[in-house]
Amino acid sequence: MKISMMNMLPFLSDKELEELIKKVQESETGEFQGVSLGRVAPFLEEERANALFLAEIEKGGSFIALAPFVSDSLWPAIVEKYLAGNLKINLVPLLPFMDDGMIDELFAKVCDGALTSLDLLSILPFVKEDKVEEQFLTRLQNGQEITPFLPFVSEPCLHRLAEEYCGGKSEIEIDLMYPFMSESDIRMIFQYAMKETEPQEKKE
Amino acid sequence: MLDFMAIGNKIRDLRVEHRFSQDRIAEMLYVSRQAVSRWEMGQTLPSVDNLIELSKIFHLSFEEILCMNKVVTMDPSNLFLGHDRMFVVKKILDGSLKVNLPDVFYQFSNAERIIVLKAIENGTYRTDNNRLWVKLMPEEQKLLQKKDDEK
Repeated sequence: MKISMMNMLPFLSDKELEELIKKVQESETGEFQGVSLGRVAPFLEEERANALFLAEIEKGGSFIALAPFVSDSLWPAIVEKYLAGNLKINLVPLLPFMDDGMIDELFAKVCDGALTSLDLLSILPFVKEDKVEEQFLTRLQNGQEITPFLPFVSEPCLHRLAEEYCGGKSEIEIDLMYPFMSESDIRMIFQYAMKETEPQEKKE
Repeated sequence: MLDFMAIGNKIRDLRVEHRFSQDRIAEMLYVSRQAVSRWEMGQTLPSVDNLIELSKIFHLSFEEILCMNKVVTMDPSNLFLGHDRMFVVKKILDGSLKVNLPDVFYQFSNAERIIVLKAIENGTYRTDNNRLWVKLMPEEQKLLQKKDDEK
């Protein structure tokens, strides 16, 4: 009878779990009898999960699956190390586990161009709406690229811009924005744009 | 919420009905044929000015070309078809697009799943957590569990 290692996990002692971790780490596939570090993690004490996570990060191993099981106190040091350029990892899968303060710090650096290893599209879903809009409006004013921000900007914010456009502020990039606006704003924009083109045609 | 795919189909149908080639439409609007092709494939939308021109060419209102009079129907088996993915996620999360999340959760990418779970964790989105729970990976379950632990 074949016994599944996965099913045995809840019944293993700490010592047995440690032996299993060693075997997983030694394997080339990152698995031992179908068990990966991510599968062992729920059965570890938080401190052990932390240590394992840090060790895996250091050696560029399979740290991502461990991220949900580590304590929040670990993240500031990781972000600090990452920002200092001392951690060459893909930070994106870790973003969901970070708090708003850390996300804001990373987002600000991505927007400033001080952090190029993390792209805007990856971090935007985790940034609070007010911060997104603040940056969106700044970029709009400076004539910078706004496209990645559009799905994350609120309808009230887009409504204000629709009103500004219909108030004659023609420099607003309405073509990029209207697909993300409410139907009433889209109607308002097109009605305004049609009115704007009508007199010119009559003159011609 | 505009349905890019429906708008693309509408533009293509109108063009064919009026016996215009993509090249001819492109010439009339001073855009590239590729731009017309992208509209018809639902990848992008025409600019406001081009849409007004199209409405003149096809003798239709902009509302009709933008399919604004139609109720947007989402195919539950392919929720993201014809839409910007992140836009759909956002609409689901702000409640303006109602879906039975546990039933469609498999269609979300890993990143999108995390975004939804974060919203559930923050209490900004509600769903049947018990039904969703069984469809989550252990690490995703932990993400939701963490919030409960904090409570």
